[in-house]
Amino acid sequence: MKKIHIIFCMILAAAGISVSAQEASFSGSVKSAAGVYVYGEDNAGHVSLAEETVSGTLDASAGSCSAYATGNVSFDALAAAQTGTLSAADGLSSQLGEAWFAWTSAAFGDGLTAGIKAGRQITAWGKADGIRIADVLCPQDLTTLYASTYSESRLGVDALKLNLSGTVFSADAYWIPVFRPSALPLESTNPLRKIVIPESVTVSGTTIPVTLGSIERPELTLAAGSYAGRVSFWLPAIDFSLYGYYGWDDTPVVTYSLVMSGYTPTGITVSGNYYRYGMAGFDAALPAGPFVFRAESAFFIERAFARTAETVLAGGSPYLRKNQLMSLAGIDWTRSGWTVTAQYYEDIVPGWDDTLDRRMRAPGATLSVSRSFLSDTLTLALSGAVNWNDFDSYASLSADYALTDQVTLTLAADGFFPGPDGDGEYGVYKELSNVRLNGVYRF
Amino acid sequence: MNHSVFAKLIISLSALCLAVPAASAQTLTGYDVMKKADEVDTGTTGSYTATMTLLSKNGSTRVREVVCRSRDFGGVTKSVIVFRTPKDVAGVGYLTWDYDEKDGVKKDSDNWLYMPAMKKVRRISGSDSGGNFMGTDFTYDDMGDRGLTKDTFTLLGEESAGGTGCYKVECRAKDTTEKNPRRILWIRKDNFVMQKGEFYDKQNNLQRELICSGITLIDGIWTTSVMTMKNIVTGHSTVIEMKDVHYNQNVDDSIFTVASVERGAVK
Repeated sequence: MKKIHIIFCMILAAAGISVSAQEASFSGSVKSAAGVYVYGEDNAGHVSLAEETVSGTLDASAGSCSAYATGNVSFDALAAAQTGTLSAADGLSSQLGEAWFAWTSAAFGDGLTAGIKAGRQITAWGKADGIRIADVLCPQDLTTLYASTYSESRLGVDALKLNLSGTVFSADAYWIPVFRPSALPLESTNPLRKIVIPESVTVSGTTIPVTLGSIERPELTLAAGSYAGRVSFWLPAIDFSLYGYYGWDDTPVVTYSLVMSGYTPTGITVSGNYYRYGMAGFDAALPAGPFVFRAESAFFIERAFARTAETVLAGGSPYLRKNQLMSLAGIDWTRSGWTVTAQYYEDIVPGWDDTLDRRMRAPGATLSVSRSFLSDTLTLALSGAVNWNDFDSYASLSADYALTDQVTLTLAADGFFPGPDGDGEYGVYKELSNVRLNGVYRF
Repeated sequence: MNHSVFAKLIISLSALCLAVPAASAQTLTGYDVMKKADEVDTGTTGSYTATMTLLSKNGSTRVREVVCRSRDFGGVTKSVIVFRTPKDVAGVGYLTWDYDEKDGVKKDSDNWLYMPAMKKVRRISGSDSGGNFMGTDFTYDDMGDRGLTKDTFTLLGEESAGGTGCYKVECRAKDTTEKNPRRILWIRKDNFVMQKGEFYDKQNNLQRELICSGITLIDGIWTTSVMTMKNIVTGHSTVIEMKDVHYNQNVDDSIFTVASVERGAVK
């Protein structure tokens, strides 16, 4: 970790030196966030968030070449306090979000531009908002519920990108030689851990502890890379893209094994493995008056799905490969400061069987409404999502106020609501419902 | 932030700010005056930096700065606009393809928005004609990028504004539900550049007042350097200042593409 800190500081220092020497800019922010849980006998009133983050971005260019680097250093006071030592170092973390250089040339005639981009980069695919359909290129940061932007919710991949673009199209090819998984909330201080891995389970009336075993990553060999491609068209009547991906699933398939003492189970060990799959997808956006209609679909080929703990503990294989189809339809409406978006999505596994640790269908819907006031210095937003299977839901209410052009304050509340017959996907987080306040200074 | 309105605002801003002498002294109708104002030459290409200063009634200020490049491709004008400040929207880019009026019909523009924090380009609506943008006191309709078919025009007379002789034209929207169904514009007689404007609400009360100044020739094209829009009701006002204005220079066609906006080619 110290090594990462040093590298990040070197980047910042280099930025400060070079800004005045060439066409380069350095910007950043200082963010302070605090929050409190509002639900649950054990949780309500407890601090949910106490974090300071310093971010920096270097953006440089010279002729047809450019370079970009962004990273942050965070101090999580809550994590530091929970380790018992209350030291700054225990709560410190840093992350290199992106660091790439690019070369672009328009010297190919007929309006064609070709380019290369190499290094850690974040790329977003698809037309969906907040729902992952074809957007598989970059892994997710699943360690927090408080990511406020897409960039904060994703991890950069170390990739080589080739691009060819014209007036109405762009074609990208990616080679990702080094696998990077989604970040999972496995730290003991992370409140999400107990939802991913329960502390104990009851087997035949006996409560036994659950421990985390190893999560095996693919070997770092040339043959173990991932490959992807996108072709996009932007036409007066419609935008559409085609996607292809062959590579690693960035979330592991979880498996279970019993720890035995003689013939008596004394614990369960949870471990995981990553598997490859293929994906073919498309998206489209059609403007029509004040509306924009959006669609996105992805077909996953031979994806590995975890089987239920009962199946695995009874000696079954830990996963089955099945095809999967995910689709989304959405509509945006914008008028006079109002923005409304609504989406419906389906997630289906054809050939599903009841040993899989998921349902055959997982449909859902999202709704977002926002309105700006006071010369756009105040924005109120309400967004929510509901799962169709259990009718569990999530809702967020936020108010952003720009105190000055540099300082923005945000008051937000997140609520997770179980369905009538069970927690469901959102309801399991109900005790993490919270209210939080952020302040950001940007420079 | 109303992105689609802003995209249109800038296109309209270009059309409004740039004009050349286009008429000889003769008896003109209100429609004639507005048609000549609408047909002003804006150059094949244009580039500028616009600083928008928002002044509240209590004296506090907010500043937004954008850089813009545009090119007339014949029948369609393409523009790319990128925010420099404030920092929370720095790097946000807009690409607009704005189509000329044809047979009395003006097709909605095509608009794309790139938000660095979202890492992707988003298609946005091209028909939003109301509401303020980015907290300014300007709207798309204020700037006049609405063709000539949506209003009826009456020449009210000739009157001096800003020390210059102007045609005073009343514009009444055919759609009376619009935010400003009545506007009175002062169009300079010598070059058909707008000198002043008054915007009335549905109750026919004066809502906002526009004053243009610093009208000078740049690269042979009349250019308005400063526009001040004051909201009479709220006391809020916005000053737009144009800097680094250049016309008919070589601008790479490839920057007017979605791929270019996504790459952040204009800074």
